[in-house]
Amino acid sequence: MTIVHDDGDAAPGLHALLIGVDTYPHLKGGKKKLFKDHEEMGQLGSPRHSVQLVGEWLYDSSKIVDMPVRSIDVLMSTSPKSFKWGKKKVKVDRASAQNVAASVLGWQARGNADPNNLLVLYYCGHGVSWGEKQSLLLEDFGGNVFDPFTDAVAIDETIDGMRRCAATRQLYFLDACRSVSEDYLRNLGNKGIRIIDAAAHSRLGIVRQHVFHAAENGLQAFGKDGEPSIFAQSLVRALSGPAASPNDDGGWEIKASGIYAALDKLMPLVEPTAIQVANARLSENFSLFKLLAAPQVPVSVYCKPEHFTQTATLSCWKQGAQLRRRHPPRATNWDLELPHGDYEFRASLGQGVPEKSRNVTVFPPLTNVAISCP
Amino acid sequence: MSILELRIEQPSLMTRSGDTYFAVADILPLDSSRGRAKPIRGVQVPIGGRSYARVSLVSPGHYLVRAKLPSGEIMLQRIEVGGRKTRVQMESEDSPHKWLSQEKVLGLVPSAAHIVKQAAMHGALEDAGSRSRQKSTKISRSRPAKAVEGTSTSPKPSGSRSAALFADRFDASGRASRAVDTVEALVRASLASLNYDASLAIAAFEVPTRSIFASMESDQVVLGDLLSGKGVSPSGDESAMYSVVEVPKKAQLERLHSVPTMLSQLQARRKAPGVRRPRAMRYYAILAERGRVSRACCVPVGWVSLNGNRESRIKLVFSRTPTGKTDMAIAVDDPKIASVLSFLQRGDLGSAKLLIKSSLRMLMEKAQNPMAAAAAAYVLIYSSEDTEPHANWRQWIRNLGARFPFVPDGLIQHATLLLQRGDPGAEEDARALLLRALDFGPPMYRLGVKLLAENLAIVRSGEMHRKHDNGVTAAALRYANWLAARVDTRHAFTVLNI
Repeated sequence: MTIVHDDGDAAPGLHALLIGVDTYPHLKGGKKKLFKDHEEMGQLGSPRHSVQLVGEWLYDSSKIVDMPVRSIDVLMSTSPKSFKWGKKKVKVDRASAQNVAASVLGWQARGNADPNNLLVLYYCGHGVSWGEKQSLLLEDFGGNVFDPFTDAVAIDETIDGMRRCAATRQLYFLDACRSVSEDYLRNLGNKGIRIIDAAAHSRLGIVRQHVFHAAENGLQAFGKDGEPSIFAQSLVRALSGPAASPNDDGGWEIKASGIYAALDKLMPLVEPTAIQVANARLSENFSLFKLLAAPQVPVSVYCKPEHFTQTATLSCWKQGAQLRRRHPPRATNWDLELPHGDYEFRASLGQGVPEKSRNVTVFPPLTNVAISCP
Repeated sequence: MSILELRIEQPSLMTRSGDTYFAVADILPLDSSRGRAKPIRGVQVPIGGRSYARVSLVSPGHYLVRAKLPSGEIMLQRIEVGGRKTRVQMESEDSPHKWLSQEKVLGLVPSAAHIVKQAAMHGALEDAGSRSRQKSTKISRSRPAKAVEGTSTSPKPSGSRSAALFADRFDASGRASRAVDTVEALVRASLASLNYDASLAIAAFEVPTRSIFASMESDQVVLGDLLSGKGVSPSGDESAMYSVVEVPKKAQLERLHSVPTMLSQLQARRKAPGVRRPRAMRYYAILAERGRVSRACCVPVGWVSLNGNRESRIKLVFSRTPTGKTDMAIAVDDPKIASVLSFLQRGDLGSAKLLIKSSLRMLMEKAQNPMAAAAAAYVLIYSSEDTEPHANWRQWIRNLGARFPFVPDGLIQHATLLLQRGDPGAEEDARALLLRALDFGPPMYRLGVKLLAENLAIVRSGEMHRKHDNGVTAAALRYANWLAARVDTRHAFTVLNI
């Protein structure tokens, strides 16, 4: 357990637990005895950066949303094992089974202080999935050859157990593969430690839990070495605006359902070749927090037919004033980010061709602007 | 006051009058209209058909319509509402074929545009420099023999999973017989060829079985006592990525029990003195790929539509996955309930609740379709107490389990009330309900599979705390976990990967 931030305030707020595992000593490329059933899993280059990115969003969140961050616990099996919280660098504990269990229990206990607390768990590392069940693989996975999943978390059962926590709003971001391993299913006994027992909880319908997966069941999650994962990049972007919806007071808020919609649209923007889907657990929707300003919305401008996009000069206007312009030649759509509102987009093809324009309301999660050209 | 009339057009979608699919829309005033007008949320918007949703707006102006379709598609459209009545028709994306428009609305197949995009992206992942976290290569596995259309393949090794699937566990004395070869041959002979090296049979299983999990081996799924199987062939374009199979109506399937010659042994056995008669039937679609059974899917044969008191058409939708396997899903031609099921499947409880609310009484009190009632009951079970849509819902669920045990979901839902929703009752009562549910085979819905495993874990945990080690609960939990690990989470109905 490494509490990198605790404001000591007992009032409701956000309590986060971030876990990143890059280093797997018993998997391919590791420094210890190779686990023979490694299924080609090896070392990762993205979780450290992903955890750091989510941490940075939390650090800056007070400028974006109205929910105070009360505590953050970070575990990382990476090299180096340091986490930046603002200007300070903190050496963090590794993501061993023992440490993760202690951290989950501590996080649960902090959440217990008030039903209005918002609990957030972010995990980035290897994962294996079978039907309704998913195991998150921790640093020492494969060290115990007779029962390798003693170094994994049975996350679905642990989430069931988390209904015993008083905090009624819980979010789980599982940035891991959901590949199916037939051989693990058949041969390797238990599927991970259940950190909180699911005994006799009667809080279905009271505790609201949303689980966001980086991949559809049976598929893999992706990240580039040395960069945050596609899911992490999309997530922090979504939370800054694209996941927002207007509330009845004239402001903007982020709800769990908005995160699904935003991730679905944003992940292909981060990595166009990625085919990833965020998936759901059935639960009532809830509001996470209010935005302090109008949301920033990704906008993609192009011409129809699309080949005109390469040669058109594209511009963005608001109330008669030009805000931005893009000059040709360009191979791709014009991607920009604008605050929610009404805009005019123009396409100029030159050579005496009349300028074309379109009025559009830029609205989360993503606005596509197609300008019909001759 | 202005009136907005709204509908969503899905090209080629045919629906009966008054029987449409629904999207759920929010109508949000844009900057110029904000201040006076508030967002209007949860408007039920018909998809296809001729009817419109009618909404009263405080003032004319610009609005944004944000509609969620059962498929998960989100449509955004800026509209201008005039002083009196404004009619708006939003256009949804095309389906890959005209005959797949229903399936596209429900999200069982993607849109045509999505397929084109996917095809362009496929194979580009590694080239683009993205690095998969994990390769899913398998550890040594023998390759199954290639199948010849509709015929049997080489015998499977004794104890294989597919053999276990069809294991006729009961002989005349009521104990596990070794009729495996006969029964499996029956199904093999019944398999009709699909596209892409796969074959399909609709098979009827008798329930209740006796303690199906008590004597099971670690890697078995037992669906009941096989009675018959019928091969069915797909419609649609043979070369397409997708195929559709219409499931025969209940009466047609019931007539089959006397048709296959292989059944004569089973029937003779049933007529023997002291042997029980079949009590209830469950139907499954059995998919075989390359000669090997790969999936079993609960088929809701006898589904009565919400409107019209008719038996709904049930379609099996097949598609080829990127890995070359065949995927199987179910589409029920009961638009409103099918919309609810799609929203449930996508985790959108709010939209499912909104759609089902007006139909709850009809579903629960008329009890014409316990399978649809069980789907509605999942909405109730997962809803929070402050938004429960009907006062009598707990009693409805208790009745559902008691009156229709062959839809095991009702029993599981009743147990969930006892264990997880604060109903008074002992864990022992819940345990009895769960064991009874197991006796009727896998739940109809995949949400039931999850709750079955979840509830049995709670019961088992309680027993452990009391130091009361009950072997039957342990075996039941093992079986439930096995089902949970095998269920395909992409579908509303239970599809088991064998």
